[in-house]
Amino acid sequence: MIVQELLLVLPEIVISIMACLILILGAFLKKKDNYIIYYICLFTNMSIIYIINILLEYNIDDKIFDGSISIDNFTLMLKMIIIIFASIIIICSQKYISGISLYKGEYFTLVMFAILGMMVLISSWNFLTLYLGLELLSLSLCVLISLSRKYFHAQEAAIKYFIMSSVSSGLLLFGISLIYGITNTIDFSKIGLILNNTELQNNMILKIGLIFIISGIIFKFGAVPFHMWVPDVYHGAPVPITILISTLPKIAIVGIFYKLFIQVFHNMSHVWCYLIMLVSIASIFFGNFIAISQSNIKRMLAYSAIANIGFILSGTLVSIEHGYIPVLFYTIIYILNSFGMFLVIMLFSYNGLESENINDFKGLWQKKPFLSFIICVLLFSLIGIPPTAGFYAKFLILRSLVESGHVAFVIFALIMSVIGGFYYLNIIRVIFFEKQISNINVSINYGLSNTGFYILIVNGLCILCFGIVPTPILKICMLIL
Amino acid sequence: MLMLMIASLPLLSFLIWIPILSGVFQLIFMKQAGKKNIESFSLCISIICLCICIFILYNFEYTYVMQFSECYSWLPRFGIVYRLGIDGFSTPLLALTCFMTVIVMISSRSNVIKNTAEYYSSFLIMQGFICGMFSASDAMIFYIFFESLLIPMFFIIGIWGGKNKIYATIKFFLYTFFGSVLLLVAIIYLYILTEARYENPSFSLSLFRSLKLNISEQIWLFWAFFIAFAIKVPMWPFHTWLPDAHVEAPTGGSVVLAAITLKIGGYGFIRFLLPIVPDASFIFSNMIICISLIAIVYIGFVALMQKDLKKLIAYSSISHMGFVTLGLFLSCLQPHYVVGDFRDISMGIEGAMIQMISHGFISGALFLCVGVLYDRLKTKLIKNYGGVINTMPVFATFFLFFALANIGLPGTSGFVGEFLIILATFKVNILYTFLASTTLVIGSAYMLWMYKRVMFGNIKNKAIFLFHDLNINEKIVFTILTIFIICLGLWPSPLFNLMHESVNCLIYHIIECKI
Repeated sequence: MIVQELLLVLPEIVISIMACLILILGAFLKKKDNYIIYYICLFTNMSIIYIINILLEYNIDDKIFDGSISIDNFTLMLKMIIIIFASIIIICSQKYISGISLYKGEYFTLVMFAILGMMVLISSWNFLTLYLGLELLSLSLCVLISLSRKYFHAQEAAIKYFIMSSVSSGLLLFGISLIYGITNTIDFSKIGLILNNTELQNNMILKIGLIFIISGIIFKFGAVPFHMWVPDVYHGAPVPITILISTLPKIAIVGIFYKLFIQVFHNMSHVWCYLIMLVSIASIFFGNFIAISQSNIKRMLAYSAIANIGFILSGTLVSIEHGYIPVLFYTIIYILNSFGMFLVIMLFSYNGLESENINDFKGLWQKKPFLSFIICVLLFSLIGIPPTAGFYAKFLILRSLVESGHVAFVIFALIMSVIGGFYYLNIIRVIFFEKQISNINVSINYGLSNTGFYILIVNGLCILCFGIVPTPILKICMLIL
Repeated sequence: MLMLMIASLPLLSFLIWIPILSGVFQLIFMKQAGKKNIESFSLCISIICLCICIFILYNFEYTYVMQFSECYSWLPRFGIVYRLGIDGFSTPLLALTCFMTVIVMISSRSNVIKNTAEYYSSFLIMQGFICGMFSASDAMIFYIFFESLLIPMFFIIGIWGGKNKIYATIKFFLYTFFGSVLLLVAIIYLYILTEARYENPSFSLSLFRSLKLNISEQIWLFWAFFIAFAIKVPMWPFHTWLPDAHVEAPTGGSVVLAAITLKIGGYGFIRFLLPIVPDASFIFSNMIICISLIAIVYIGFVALMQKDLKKLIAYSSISHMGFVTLGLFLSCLQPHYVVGDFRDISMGIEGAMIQMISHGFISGALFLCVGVLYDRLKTKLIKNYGGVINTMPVFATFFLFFALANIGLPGTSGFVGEFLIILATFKVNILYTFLASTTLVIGSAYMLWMYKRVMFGNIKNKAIFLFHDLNINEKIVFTILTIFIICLGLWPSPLFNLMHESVNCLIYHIIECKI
């Protein structure tokens, strides 16, 4: 029995063993041999994908370890997506991190632990595993942010992130304890059963507990009341870490949202619906408005991330009636977009020279027409204009919102997206309409290897192709659920 | 036999995808190909499209049903079907699009343009999008093309525009984007209603037309549609993006903007607003007629005061497009006033359609005229000109003809539409007639005064002495446009025949109470 249960968490076991192994190996290897770690890391990821693939064939739907971890197709698929994305990020960031002398064991170990944290988070089926996963994730990310000790910004961001994430963990724990106090359990299935009792649904302490739990999780998402760390971290962290923070945790948290809201607390929807709605309105509003005045492209993308999270949250708002597919679709498309944009930033940064000011991209079009075209596709997709994939993402979310009668909210979101259009267009303006200036560091050094460059191009073309035929992404979303 | 074979091909899809694909091809492979080759290639593509369009016109049957229809399942989960088809409203506009693109292609040949390949491919791609929009009979397909259209226009103004291009192009983009998101909400809302009431929901326009809506739903939908299309037309309070966009756009961009994209607004009113929410349209029609009259009179006066040639013509465009909305909403009002046959009611809509087509020709021609002047003196300010007639007599003749056509001289196409609409106003309210016909005075005031300041008098600016008259490309373009304007003015009945049945069908939808 135990063996069978251990087999189901084989991906987690493999990744934790390999992460420790890499840490030890990193201490002994010479600097020029560090590429071995890189390949071991990739190999681990490949093997985990393989294991998950095998597990997927059995159509497992099981709660293991006394119901503290649940393994089903949903969690396995999300894990697979995370691993695939993580591998791509590792491949792309290879050249950049060697430029800032991070190409060593710690980096890879921490990335692996962050992945492990996300995997635990996704498959958690009681509050303690959830807390464990969340903490493992944020602790690894925190160290990753501060890993490049030379940069002042990174240190500041790391401290900020650490303090705020501890506060939010405190909130989360407090919420958990309140819920435990009422229901006498931390197991999701039991809580779900207990909540069928209508009297308990209006219990004040339970409501407060739920609110605290939501705030704890939303912090990791970076939605508005807890968004302060987002711009600083996006700005301060090395670009690969920024990519990591801006993409993967979103998948994990969208996954845990599904479990918490749709499967466990669906009877409390009268509480969390208003909360999520408020958070998403605030996120869309602040994200879009503050992004307008940013001249640093990383900060701008951070605020745009906040606005996009608002959209994702607004999708979860109606997901009980209209399914979770729009949310997953939006998340995947958004991740592709933001991944592409950060790859562009990474492309133009090397050896600590970051071209992160929007004006650094002046007149890029004359020098690199095809790359500019790709950037243009990514930005139009972020605005949500057909024929790019961003349009369908927006469309699906809006459709489910209109279907459940939130028309006013939809109009608000759309007007905000028009305002959001302004700052995305601003980048296009700089790239296409401005004259080139001579002293730019753009295209002197590339922080992206050839493989990374091809990945960027494929990513952009994918966004365009999914804009014409979005069925593949839709199929993936349907497979996940 | 051959004709039948050709007619069985998916001609509308060709009309959409040939220009788009060749534009992309040009963008990727012909960057180094040399200016001549690029120009000839794009001209060829646009002429091929024109030929297809002429074939479609030739084979068009005078009924109200959708013809040349194509239907492929595209995104079944979204309920989106790739559904094309044209009727009496879209066919003339489709023809106008293909025709004006050829004109733009010919007229741009003589200009020096940087990044030639990108310039021409933007126009080709834009042509494809516009054709797709006019031939869509699925609301979502319409919307996708409607919004995609912004991208090439954004680049045309932004890259090849004038001094203040960035302000103009971002304003243009955000204004239209704002309108189109409202359109999106309205379309999604209608789709969800069909989902509740029919077995197989879809975005099909014909399904939307047969949908029964209560009055509050109609009013909300009305405002969403109205703002979306009023920005495109543009109607009076939403017009401020147009003069900026026109002033900064390159000549070709201005021509397409004035001749084709403004018609999208009018077409949207005909396709969405009038048939889908007829009762709300009736409720608000007096208001919209007032707005149109404000556009006609007030914007006419604004045009009078312009110092910039392009701005003047842009304002005159707004004023003339006011006639289109006036005509359309008069027909909404009329059934409740007049007891008569469809003939009386159809006058407004037919007038509006004719006005749209003729304004396409005339405003395009006028912008080309400004382009001719601008190419020679590199300024658009009226005060820098004067006495151009001395060095450019041929041009002066054409320009005068187009100016008079813009005023609405009998015998030109400008007359037919305005006359019909003014006639239609008689049936509703004599005050409307009075206000609408002031355009004849104001219009001639601003056009002729502008003409006098630019063309007549002594040569003030020494550079004008060096002006050479029209070159061969410009002559060809102006001659073709002149012929079309006169033909349409003297013998508009083919156009009437083309759209008569569709107009009757639309009136049937308007009269039928939906509640």
